[in-house]
Amino acid sequence: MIRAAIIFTITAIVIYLFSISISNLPPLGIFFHPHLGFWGNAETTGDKRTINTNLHGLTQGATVWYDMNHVPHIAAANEHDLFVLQGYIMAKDRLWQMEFLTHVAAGRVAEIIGNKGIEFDVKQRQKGMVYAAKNSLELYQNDTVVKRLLDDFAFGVNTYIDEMSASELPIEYKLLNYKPEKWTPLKSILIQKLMADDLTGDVDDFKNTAFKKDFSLDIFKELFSLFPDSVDAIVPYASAASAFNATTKESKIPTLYQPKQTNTNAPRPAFIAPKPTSLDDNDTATFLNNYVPKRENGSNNWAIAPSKSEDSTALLANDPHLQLRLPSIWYQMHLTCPKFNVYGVSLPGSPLVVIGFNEHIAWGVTNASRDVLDYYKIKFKDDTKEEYELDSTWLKTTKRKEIIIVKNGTTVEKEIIYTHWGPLQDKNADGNYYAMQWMGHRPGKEMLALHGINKAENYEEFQQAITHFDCPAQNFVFASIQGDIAIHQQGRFPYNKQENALFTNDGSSTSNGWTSFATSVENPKLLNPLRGFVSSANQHPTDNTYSTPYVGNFEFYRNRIINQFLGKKEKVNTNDLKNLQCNNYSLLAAENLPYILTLIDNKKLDITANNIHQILSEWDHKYDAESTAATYFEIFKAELYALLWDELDENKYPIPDDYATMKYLKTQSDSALFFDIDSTINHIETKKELVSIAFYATMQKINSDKENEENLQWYAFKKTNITHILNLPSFSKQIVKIGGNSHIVNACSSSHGPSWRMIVKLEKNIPVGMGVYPGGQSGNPGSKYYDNMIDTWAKGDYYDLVFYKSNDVNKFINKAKQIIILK
Amino acid sequence: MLNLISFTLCFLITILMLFVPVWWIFIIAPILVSYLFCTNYSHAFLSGFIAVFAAWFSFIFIVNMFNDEILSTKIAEIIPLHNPILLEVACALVGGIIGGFGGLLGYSLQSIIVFRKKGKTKYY
Repeated sequence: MIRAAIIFTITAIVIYLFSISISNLPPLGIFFHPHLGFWGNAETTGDKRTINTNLHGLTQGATVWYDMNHVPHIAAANEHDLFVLQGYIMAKDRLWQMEFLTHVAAGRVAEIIGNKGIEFDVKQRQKGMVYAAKNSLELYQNDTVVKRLLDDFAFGVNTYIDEMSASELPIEYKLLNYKPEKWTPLKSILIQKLMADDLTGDVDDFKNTAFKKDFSLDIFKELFSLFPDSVDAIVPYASAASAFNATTKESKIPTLYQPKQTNTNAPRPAFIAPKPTSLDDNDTATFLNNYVPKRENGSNNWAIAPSKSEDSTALLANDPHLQLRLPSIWYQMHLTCPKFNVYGVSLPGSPLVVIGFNEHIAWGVTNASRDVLDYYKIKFKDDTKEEYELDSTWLKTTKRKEIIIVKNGTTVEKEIIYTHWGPLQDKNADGNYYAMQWMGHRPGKEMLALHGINKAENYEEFQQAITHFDCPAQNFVFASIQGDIAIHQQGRFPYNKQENALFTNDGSSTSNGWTSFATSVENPKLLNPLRGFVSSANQHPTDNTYSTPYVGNFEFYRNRIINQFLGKKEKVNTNDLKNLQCNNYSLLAAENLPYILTLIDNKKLDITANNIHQILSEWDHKYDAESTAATYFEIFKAELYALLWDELDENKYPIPDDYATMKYLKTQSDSALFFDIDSTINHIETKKELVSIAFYATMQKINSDKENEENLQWYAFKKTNITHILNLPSFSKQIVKIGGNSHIVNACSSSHGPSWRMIVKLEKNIPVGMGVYPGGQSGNPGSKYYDNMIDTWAKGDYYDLVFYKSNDVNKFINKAKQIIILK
Repeated sequence: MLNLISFTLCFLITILMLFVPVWWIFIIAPILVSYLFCTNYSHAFLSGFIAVFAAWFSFIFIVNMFNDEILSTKIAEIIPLHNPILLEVACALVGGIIGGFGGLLGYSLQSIIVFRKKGKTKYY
């Protein structure tokens, strides 16, 4: 009896020890379990299955079939059933990613990963992400279309969560030992707000202000206030009326304004790859740095008119450049029901298709990159921060208590103060408090816009639909089977003085804020221009004759490569567009390297230096994967920028972008301020000396790597890593063999790149699509569809997208890898 | 012969129990089998250990094979054992240990149940 009791106790203890998580390892008894543990996620690689199932909540039967790339093709009887199924099917492949991203957005990461997430969570709460999402949700309560589809989508996700077996639970839940909670419409909006933050959240207002104070406004203007001399705007207003003969429908005749521009891409050495971490990384979880908005976000899109297309059909191409992640940022879907037939990519967690095509039109987006985030200095009456000054009166603040739950069971409380501008940030280094004003906090009907776009049958319907899209502002490119092409910069933009957007503001005066907004009619747009194409690549939306002043993070090189390529060709076909999307040509190098090389006195060079000099002089300026010259140039550029801007601490000041840097090098005289190298106290360097020193530093770097010559091939040096959201190396794909870089059309840097390449040929009968993204449809690392498209993407190949008219489904369904029949 | 029967029985019940969503429930297999068949503690531990280890390993082996080792290769880096076969063994070992304790528990129950039977005869 006693013996039995002892054995029983020991057994219970052993079972208990295997049920708890010890030193960051998941509970091994459950995790190693052959069925309930991670083995449950080891999907059988052979497929061809038909599953019959019931999904209560559907009004009628429906079918879902998966094609060779595991893209679901959903056929439902009505829109209600369609969105229930979109949620259900998306959750089946991406549940963990969907939910984790809502936790990232809302600042609830500490609940999952413990103390490492607290600091990040506080930042997210201070940004007012949930506040922003709730504002939009409230607006949707009166919108029957969107309210219904958000509810249907949530119902579909929850149906999956409820019916999912313990074994099916996505592996990350098992690793981190937690369970999914119920999906809500708010979560779908949080996903969208996370994207809005990613695309508009990186502004330099504080750094600009510090620069202005420590240097001068004149030097600031010289280095940052640039409207590039040869700007190739998305909508060239000045020439629009004549040469382009554009139908800029209804837009006001632009009046002249004094152009002033802000800084753009800070030079970031391409070779600093994000360091992968393991689960037992004890610092603040490094993967959370991925959710600090970065400027490398960018995109390309263009559309070709039938007059310029080889087959006389309009063509459209889009490749949004975002952080490269696994599970993939996008999820491909084909959604059909009567009067609804759309193919494209969706954001996991959010209904509808964001970039894609239907039977009539195709569309794509690039980031407008305009500044819609400002900071205001707040003057409080006293330390209680109950009241603050505005226009000589005292206004009451609102205090919200934010409770951050931590995994170990404790909670952290943080009081966030809201002013009418927006949430107050931590005390600034200058001793003042600033409140943020962000367009994303204002309710917008982006979902309504997407719903309208998904169903649009022509240009009129499309341009009507996009007017609801407020934030993040996008350049919407459009093409239709009717042969129309167009580009619209769409978003909600304040009439804001440029200095208010560039620097921090005095928050005690209403006049420093956003008092009125540009209407959609005033937004830059172009329809069927004579040149036969429209394009955008995050450059200036207009030339300097546009009426509304604006600032933003604009790109200067990619767009001109695209426009030169398309401008030169008389007729183009889809192959040309593929080549253009995968084009590795660097205009930055071509325009500037030859000049920089002349600054180096090559008579004084030794043999190795001469060799490098020669390789750079003879380079075709292409960042191909195996190019070593591209690596040399990148090292040289990084050395040069570091020496040139050594006066500027990048944590304190903005750093001039590529265009401004090159312009400074080319136009400034030998004795200009920044050519001196601070660390050489007794000597003031000239331009030539600076470039030569940078060149020798480059040579040393190259020589130290010489033994491993393969490491100097561009892709090996750049290290394009497609990392799992948690930065787990074995769930990531590292050092993908691909060329390109951020200022190149094939904008693939170490961490960012074309997250979806799509080309659509708008044939009269039915549009034909090609596409690929760096990942796979399944979010499960145990599935063969987790990362199966990466090699195709890296090679610059595409898949034919399976799209058909709804009643032709039977011609395609026999190719199904898997079929789900729902009752 | 008896060992073969007890092994097979324990193996099969363990496999069946893997589908119940309580991870340790398979322990009833070695408890039952060693209660019925085992003659001493070391025999009980070993029979439970071997049968459950074998059941887990076979199940895992098949799952892993149909998955082309896609997932086990990745998990082996996280755990970190760096080898999918070692990972398979490590997993089965967890089952085996619990199985062994189940065996001990089952055998120890023999005496309790016997004791109660004696009690009953006394009463009459």
